[in-house]
Amino acid sequence: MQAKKQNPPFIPYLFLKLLLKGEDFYEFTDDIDEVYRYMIDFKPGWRAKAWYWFRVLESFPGIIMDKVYWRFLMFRNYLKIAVRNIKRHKGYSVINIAGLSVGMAAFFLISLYVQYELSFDRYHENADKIFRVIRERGSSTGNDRSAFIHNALGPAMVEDFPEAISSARIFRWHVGEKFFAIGERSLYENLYYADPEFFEIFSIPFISGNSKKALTEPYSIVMSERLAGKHYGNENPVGKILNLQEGATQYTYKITGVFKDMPENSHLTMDLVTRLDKSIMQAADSSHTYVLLGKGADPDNLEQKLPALLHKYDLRLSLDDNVKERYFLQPLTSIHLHSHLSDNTQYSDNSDIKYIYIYSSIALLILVVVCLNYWNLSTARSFQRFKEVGIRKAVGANRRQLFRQFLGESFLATILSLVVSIALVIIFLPVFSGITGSKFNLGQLGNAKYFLMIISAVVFVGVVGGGYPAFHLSSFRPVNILKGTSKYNAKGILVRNILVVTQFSIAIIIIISTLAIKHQIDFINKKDMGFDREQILVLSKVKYHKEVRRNEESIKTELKRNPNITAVSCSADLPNSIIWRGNIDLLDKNTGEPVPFNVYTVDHEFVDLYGIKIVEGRKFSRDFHPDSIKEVLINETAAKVIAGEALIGEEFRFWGIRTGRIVGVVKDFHSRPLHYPIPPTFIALSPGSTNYISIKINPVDIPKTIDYIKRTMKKFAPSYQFDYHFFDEIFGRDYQNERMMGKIFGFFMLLSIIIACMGLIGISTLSAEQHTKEIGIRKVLGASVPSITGLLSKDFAKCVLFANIIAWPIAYFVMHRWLQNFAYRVSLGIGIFVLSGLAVLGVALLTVSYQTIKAATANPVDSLRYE
Amino acid sequence: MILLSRAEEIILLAVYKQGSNAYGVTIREQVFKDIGRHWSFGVIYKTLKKMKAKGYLDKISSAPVSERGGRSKYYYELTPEGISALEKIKSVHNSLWKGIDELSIEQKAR
Repeated sequence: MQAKKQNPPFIPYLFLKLLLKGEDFYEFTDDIDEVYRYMIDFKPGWRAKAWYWFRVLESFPGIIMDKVYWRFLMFRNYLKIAVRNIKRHKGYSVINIAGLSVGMAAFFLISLYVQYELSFDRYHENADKIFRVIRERGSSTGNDRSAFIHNALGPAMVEDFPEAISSARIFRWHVGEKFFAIGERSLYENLYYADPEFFEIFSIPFISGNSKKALTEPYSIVMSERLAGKHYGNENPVGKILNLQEGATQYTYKITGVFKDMPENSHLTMDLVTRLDKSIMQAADSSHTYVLLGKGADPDNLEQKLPALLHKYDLRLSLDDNVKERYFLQPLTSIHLHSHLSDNTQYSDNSDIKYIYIYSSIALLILVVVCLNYWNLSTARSFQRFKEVGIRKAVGANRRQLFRQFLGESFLATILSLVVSIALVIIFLPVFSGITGSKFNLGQLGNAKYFLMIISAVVFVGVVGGGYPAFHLSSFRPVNILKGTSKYNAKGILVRNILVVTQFSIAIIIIISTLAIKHQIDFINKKDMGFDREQILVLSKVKYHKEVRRNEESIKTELKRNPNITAVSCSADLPNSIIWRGNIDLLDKNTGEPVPFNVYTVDHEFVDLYGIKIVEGRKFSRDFHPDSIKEVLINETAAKVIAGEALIGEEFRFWGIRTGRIVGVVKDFHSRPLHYPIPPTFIALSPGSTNYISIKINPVDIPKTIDYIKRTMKKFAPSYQFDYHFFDEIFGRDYQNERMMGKIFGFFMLLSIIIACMGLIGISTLSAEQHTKEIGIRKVLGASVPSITGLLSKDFAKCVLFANIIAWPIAYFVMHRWLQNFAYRVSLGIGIFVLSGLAVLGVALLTVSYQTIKAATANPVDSLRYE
Repeated sequence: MILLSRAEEIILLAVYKQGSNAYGVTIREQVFKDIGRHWSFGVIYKTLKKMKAKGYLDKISSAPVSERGGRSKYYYELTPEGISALEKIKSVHNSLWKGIDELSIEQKAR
């Protein structure tokens, strides 16, 4: 018996208790206690205790490494088993993983797009404090929102409001491209005019030159890196001269800097910027204005103070006091998606947030469909593995292990899908970015954090989706399984049906939408616009070439000499788009207000070349005296609203000083895209304000004709940079967004059908296997193959029909809303719905048929053998 | 067969040398006698566990022991596989060090 019997120190003992379990714990503590007790006999208590402490502490690394090693080993085992299991059910695994990958890839691609669109303009350091001033004007034709603001507003804001730290204006002529000369070379670039403050407010780093000083001198100009590279190669262009030819005058600009290219995700990209000075500001009274607010400044508060400011300095743009103007401060970051400005009231075309909503919802839908699929398949498959689970449990596997293992399988499948989906994304990125028109690549992933979030969300879904079956499976009682009494219970079937119905509803909605969109696009393509579109070649940017305009008549005559050229016309605009609105003194007979006309200035040939029909009166007459009254044609819509008795021959004033006389009425044509109703339009005969030369050609020997045109232009206007487009191509640009939608929806339609079918394949196979016995008995009792096939398919057919019932109203609602965007639209006929429904039913039955027929023709002997 | 690591070799030999009295405490003491350093209990048990998993050692629980509160003591014993692993490492060692009596820095072909 020992004299002292002390216990080992408590705390280390506790540590050990936490770290070691069972046998290991006792082995360690008993052994070490043995030595400890031996030690207390001849050493002082504290030394023995210290020894104990040390021995335990120093053992920690070893213990922890041990745990890690075993955990790793176990993980590796689970992995091996999971892989083996996946290989065993190759078919399902492939379908499952393929489906999940495709869905994930689609989701990622859309997310990239959405993410890109949302990231516009955020790279500026002051992004959240920069605002663009917007003007909203109420008039009889509705609200007109524009970014064109009185020039003096910006500086006035900075002067009067302490919160406005600085402002910068940007200006560009309508057709912004200017013609510059560098030695012998010529550039055609969009020239922007800006205040020097511009580069202080916006974060555009300079590669050479000083951003603060670059635009302080008049006639100083800066260019982007890209432009500098294009025209100066590796040389530094700073200090060099750029000559601008404008009519008779030549302006000389000195290059004072080169700035880094503005990123793709900017609402406005400029390559050439010069100082905005008084002469420009006198010529045009409005420009875009940006203000930088100070920290803590409240934009709403500022907005409220604007009307007073406008009144104080008289900065309204409308001459008419009856027209209400409201001004807003639009945050920089919302310009790209939330501008909702009227046509042609800003220098760049921005997108709309509604597209983001649409595409995001679709992406989410696809993901939902895919995950449902995965869920469905996993759950259904789980019933198949009854026996496997039963045997394992009987042999000694505990529930936890099984659960972990099934979860591991699901996890592995999800990871594999992720890898494949990333590969798919990389492969299809160029195609996708082509469709959406946004140039983005993986490198532009603004936010790695966001991406990580997506990945983890998806993985979570996949794991949980596979987890439910895992949970369910591991709970089976071996007795039931081996006896074979466990079967597809009612709840399981209900869940399965719900999933199938959901998948197919989504697929049907997308199909109907796609068909509707394509229908509308088709309608647009085929609709008679009131003007011809075919075989017309257009030369643009003529406005700044004095040579062309001086020699207009000779050019026209020369061109017409070519037998394959049937007509030539010079005009300020093309029939499909109108920019110029006039201040016309013709009154609306209902409101008494001046009719807001869209104005075309054209030559004699225009109306004929484009096939615009005259319904009343006559064409322009050939005897035209430039200073006398201008001949004008109005359209039917205008004719309907103009006050006064006699239209033809009526005279009126327009643009302040001129007098016009209406000589005829033309049939309405779509001078604006089909989204908008046809506005009252007039066509003025006014040669000399040409920006476009339209040439109607015969469809033979087109290259030769083009060559002839090129030579003719070269002969009369050598400085003109020959650039042509076909009118139908130009026309098509108006519907870019819709075409893109059509393509994207088409893609989704295919995707959702494929995914829904994949799910169906899996389920139908399983269902058929479930019913093997039942089928065997039926056959023995004399049922025919068709009747059995019908029996098996019935359930699925019912699901699809039900899916239709759910999908139709939703699709109708959504598409109806979308079609409201168009003033001219197709109607949603019942045909589309029925077609989609039948198509889906057909595809579903086809998918299911292979399995059902196989099951129906199976030999009853085989299926009943397992009794 | 994968070769034993140094630590594994040392532990297995310690078990061998302790014969029928090889358990945690004695193995640790033996190691100290052999190499002059005390290894931690943690490392020792960890290696013993691994060796058992590889089949080089057997773990035998003794009859209940009163000092241990009625629990058993765990002894370790070399298995035939363990013996052959040791033999293998020994022959590898011999062939490695064959003919080298003294190590010298000079570079020459040996």
